[in-house]
Amino acid sequence: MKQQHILFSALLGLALISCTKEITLDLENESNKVVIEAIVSEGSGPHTVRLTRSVGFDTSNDFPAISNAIVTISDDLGNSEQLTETGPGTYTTATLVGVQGRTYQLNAQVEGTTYAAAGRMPVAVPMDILMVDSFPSFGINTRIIVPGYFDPAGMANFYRFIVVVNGMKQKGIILQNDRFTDGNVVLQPLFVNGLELESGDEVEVTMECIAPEVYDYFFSMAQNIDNAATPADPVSNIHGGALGYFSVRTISTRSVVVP
Amino acid sequence: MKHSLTLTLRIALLLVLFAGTSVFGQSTQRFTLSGTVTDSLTGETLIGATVMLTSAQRTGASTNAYGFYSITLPAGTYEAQYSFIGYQRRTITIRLDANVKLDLALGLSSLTLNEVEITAEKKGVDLQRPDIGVERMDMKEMEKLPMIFGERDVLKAIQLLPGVKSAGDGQAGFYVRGGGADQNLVLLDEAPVYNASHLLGFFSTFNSNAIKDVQLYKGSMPAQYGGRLASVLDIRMKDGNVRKLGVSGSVGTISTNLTVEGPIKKDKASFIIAARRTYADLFLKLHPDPGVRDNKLYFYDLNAKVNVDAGPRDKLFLSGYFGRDVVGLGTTLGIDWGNATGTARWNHVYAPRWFSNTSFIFSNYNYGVAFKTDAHDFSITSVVRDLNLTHELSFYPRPGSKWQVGFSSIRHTITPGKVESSGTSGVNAFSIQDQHTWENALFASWDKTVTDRLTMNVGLRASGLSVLGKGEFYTFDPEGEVTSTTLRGSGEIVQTYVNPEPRLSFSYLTTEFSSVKWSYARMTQNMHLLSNSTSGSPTDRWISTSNVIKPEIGDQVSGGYFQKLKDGAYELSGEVYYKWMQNQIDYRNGADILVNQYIEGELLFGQGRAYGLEVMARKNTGRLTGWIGYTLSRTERQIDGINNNEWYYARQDRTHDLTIVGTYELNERWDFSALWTYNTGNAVTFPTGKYTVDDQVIFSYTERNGGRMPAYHRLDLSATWTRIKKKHESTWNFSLYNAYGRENAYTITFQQNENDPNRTSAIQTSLFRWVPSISYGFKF
Repeated sequence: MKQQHILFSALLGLALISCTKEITLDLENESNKVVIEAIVSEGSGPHTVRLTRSVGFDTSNDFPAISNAIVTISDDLGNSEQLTETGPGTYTTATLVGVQGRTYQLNAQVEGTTYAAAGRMPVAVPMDILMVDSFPSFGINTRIIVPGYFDPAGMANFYRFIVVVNGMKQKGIILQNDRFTDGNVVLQPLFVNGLELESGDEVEVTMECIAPEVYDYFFSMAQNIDNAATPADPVSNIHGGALGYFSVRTISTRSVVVP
Repeated sequence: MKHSLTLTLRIALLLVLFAGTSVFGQSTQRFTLSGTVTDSLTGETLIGATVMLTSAQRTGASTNAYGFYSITLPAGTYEAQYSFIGYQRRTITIRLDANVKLDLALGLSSLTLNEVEITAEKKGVDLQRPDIGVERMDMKEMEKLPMIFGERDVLKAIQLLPGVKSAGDGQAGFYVRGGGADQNLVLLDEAPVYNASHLLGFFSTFNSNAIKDVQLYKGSMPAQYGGRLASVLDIRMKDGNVRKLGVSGSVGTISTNLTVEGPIKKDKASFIIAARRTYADLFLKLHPDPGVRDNKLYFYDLNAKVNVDAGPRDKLFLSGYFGRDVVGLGTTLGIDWGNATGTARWNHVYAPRWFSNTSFIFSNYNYGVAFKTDAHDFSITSVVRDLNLTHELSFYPRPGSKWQVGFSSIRHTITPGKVESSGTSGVNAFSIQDQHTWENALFASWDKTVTDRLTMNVGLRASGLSVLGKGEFYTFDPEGEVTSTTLRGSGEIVQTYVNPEPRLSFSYLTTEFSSVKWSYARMTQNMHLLSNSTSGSPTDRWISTSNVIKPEIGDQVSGGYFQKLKDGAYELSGEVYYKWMQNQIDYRNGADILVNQYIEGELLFGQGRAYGLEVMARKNTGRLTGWIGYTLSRTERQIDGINNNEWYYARQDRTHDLTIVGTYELNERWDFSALWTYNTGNAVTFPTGKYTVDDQVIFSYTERNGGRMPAYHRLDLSATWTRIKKKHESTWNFSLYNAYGRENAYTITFQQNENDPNRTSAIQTSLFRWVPSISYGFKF
């Protein structure tokens, strides 16, 4: 119920005179945790694994890359590949192919510690249409992005959307699932915080079909961003104590120019 | 469990022994003086008025929640002195050679000459009563306090008392002695109110114009109350003036409210209707743009009550509340929520020493979210409904002894979420099965004056909860995945939990002006609220005890010292408490609590503890009255699966909490008041590190609630002007909330630094600085 949250914030802003200021908090600084972002998409790749470390809250956003790790990805048919470090902390495949229904195994050895994760590539659901609709809100005609797809009936599907406007990747986490829309034509708008579209803007949307545990990971991350009462690190599907996730997914991309 | 059962048996045995001594040993003939004490002008019954009989020994009684009293004494002649806070004392000579029924009206002390006023009852703690941790809010005192938005609020006034904490700046929600927001039983004419706030928590659902009496139990709960761990807030509505028609109301900066009350049949039957509505949104209607005009944001509520004197032994009451909040964003999105409660009561006096009350209670809380665009047209609704039958019998065998026994039977039905959709919508109709539970309780409570100095209350409540079909019942593995599903038929009992809840309290007068008190109470709770928002949301989900969720159990021990100085002009008190809580509920990280069929798999269970010291100094007389209250406390939770299974501070843990309230009566017209409050910030979870995934900067967290919000403090000021004419009374209240403009942190968020995108800043949002308000009140 993302809409509701937006509405409540809007009402709070309208009904009350609130003010904001930057403050200094004495926070603990905890750093140096291993962060793994591993993605296998449908197709021949290359598929990428990024290894970085976390930094303290007060420091700048320079996240150290982890080099010289041993990273392998294998599938349930016995195909296996050790990834090559093509840039600092970035490891890529050369031959591994992502196929729907196959289960992939990630294994990363970082300074003697092994991190492992597994994921099954879901059924691909293509985005069939991408539209820009308008939505009256507080006197302004806000434009919203509406992707359309046929959700396959009888199975649980999980989607994640990435919005790029005029080449700029938009912040935030946009998720949909078919708990209420199983087997339907789905035309749910995407709410991007702080985005004001104008005529002529080029909008590109990538729809990912993701595994349920990856959905849960992003869902809990989105809750933290929405200022939940008790934020916590999202539950990762990587075993071994790393932050981050291993996502095996299919993707479908469309673009539209705002009329 | 075994331990508590033997304890219960011992208490039961003790009760029988004590009861025995009071039943035997009757020799001389005894008669009963009973009746009702009322206000002479309005005919409203007075709750907690005292009747003292002076003869060889002083004995007394006080009126119950319906204004009824009963006292049985050997035949003879007595001086009966009737008194109540703020009213003139009356003394009547009574010859008790038969049972006497005496209904007495007391006059307000402020309407009388000064010399009479001296004899008026002063307010203050009753040293001899064994109740500890019980606060009664004086409605008249509340009228003088500063307001926010020109709206008087009972829930905000009780937050000024030690041990009671506000849920946030300007919020009506409250926490008592370390309990959660859902651990307060809020009763309006005995009906539970599931969401006691309006408009995102900034207003309470209680229209103070319709309220007669407010009592908060935070320590020793009498056995007739049960169902929540932390406190009972017992709010009683006015019955309505039985003498003459009256209209009163107020116009404030945010809302207007109007109350009409009067006799249906003089001195026999009366009614009261109180209505309130906010009107901020009416200004939106003036806007030329339909995109603005079509937005909605308001609440209203209605209180109504009828009472009928159906003969010398019977009284009937019918009361109801209906309130609604409406929020709408154009035609696209609408959210509305509210409570409806109804209570039908029948007081019956079987005999002068036997008073009974039977109540049939209804309570309903629901919310609806409607979403409508070209592609979608669907709504989500959720309902919590209670039907409750309660019977309570009071028996006054002799002075200094009072029995109360009874039962309560509540049928809870929760519809957690129902999605309805039009045919063209992309959303499927969907519904989570209803949850049915049946909560029963038997209780007995005995108030006894053991010696001149020692009084006690011994009580036992046996509460049971049965989980009923129909529905699917699940079991879960430690990861929260469903391991088995059982289908149960309609009305089938799936599981029953029985908990004995002993209640004990003692008061011992150490001198004429001081006493020590001690109490122990066990409470259980079967309705639980799941919330992950910082300020509480109307869509927070109520869930009942089930095959997976066990009843919450709380045990509290408290002790206190009470001292009156200068004949009651000043009061000092100190109380300490320690509370253990079992089967506390929290949920897993990333739990989806909205419209989730397998919600129980998202929950984690653990324990809690809370302890503290509350100190209060009060000045009751003179031009300047008020109090200073201070609380030192700690509240912690330990839940496996959270914070590496280690103890952590509960969100509402606040080490220090200080409140100073003063009202100065300048003359008959003007009253000035000020309040200052300070508390340690809430325990919250702040990020301790950051990392990058998905090209975004993400924060990492270590300890649950390991951080602290900045300390909160503010000063409120108000001036009240009152003019009382013969038939007309008017008041103006000018208030300034947060007079020195302290920027109190409402939330703290973390975001990219505006000047240096490579760094992260903590941004504090504050809401209310210098909020002035004016309210005009009238009565005729």
